[in-house]
Amino acid sequence: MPKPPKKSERLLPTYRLSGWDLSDEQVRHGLQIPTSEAGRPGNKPNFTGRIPADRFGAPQN
Amino acid sequence: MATTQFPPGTTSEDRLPSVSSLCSFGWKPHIMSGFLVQLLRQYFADPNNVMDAAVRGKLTTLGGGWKPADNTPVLIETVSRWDPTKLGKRPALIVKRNSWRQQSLGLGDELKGFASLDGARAFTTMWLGSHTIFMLAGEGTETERWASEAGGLLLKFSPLIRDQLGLFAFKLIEVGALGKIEECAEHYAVPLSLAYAATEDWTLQPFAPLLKKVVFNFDSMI
Repeated sequence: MPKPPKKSERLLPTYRLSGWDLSDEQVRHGLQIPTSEAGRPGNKPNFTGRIPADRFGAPQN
Repeated sequence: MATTQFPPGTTSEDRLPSVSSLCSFGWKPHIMSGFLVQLLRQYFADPNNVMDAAVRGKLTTLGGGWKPADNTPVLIETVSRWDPTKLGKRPALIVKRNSWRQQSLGLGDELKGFASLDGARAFTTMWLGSHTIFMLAGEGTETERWASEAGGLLLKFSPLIRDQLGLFAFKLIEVGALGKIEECAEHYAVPLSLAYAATEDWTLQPFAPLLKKVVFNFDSMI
């Protein structure tokens, strides 16, 4: 019968080999590969369709 | 000096610096597992390779580096061949493969825009894969030091590994928190996770010429 864990060991995470895997996000983040179209250079996920006022002077509407 | 034999029909332009079965068969998950086990065994086979004095001393005390025997001082094995009941107090490096995910590089994975007179079609796709190496040892600090040693090897030699093995990327992406392991409660564990990217390329070559079934009947054309 396995002995009970020491007090300090209770503070540690327990890994389980049988269920271990990395998520798609972890791998992509590690390899610095964007996870969506929004992350690709040139695409602006917060683009609203309005031209910023400070680029061309007066606001368009 | 031995002469490298190239397959008949190949030209000098096809020759590569290192001829490898990887060129013929490409990357497969079990090949990556085997490579990692082999790399770690070669490194820990000689205590003089080890940078950390405590790890080097431990290896020497246990009777030298890894050896191909049941009583090897450090166990380096894949998860499917590892037997936790036979580990004892020894440190161990257990290699586990994680999921491989496919990343398309183009529509239908096909290389378009090339005229092929023989009808061959070329394809390519990218695999994003990962492996985790669990560093196990009897004491917490000991586990941390062994994990730093193994992690340092994988981190610092990653540019060479990437080049020699024709990978697009090979990175040590995480040194996990010190913890315990459910399958081996006597040991502490640190997971070292690696991620890599490799393409798989292939061609489909038709047996018959593309226009074989087109019958020209000159009588009907006149």
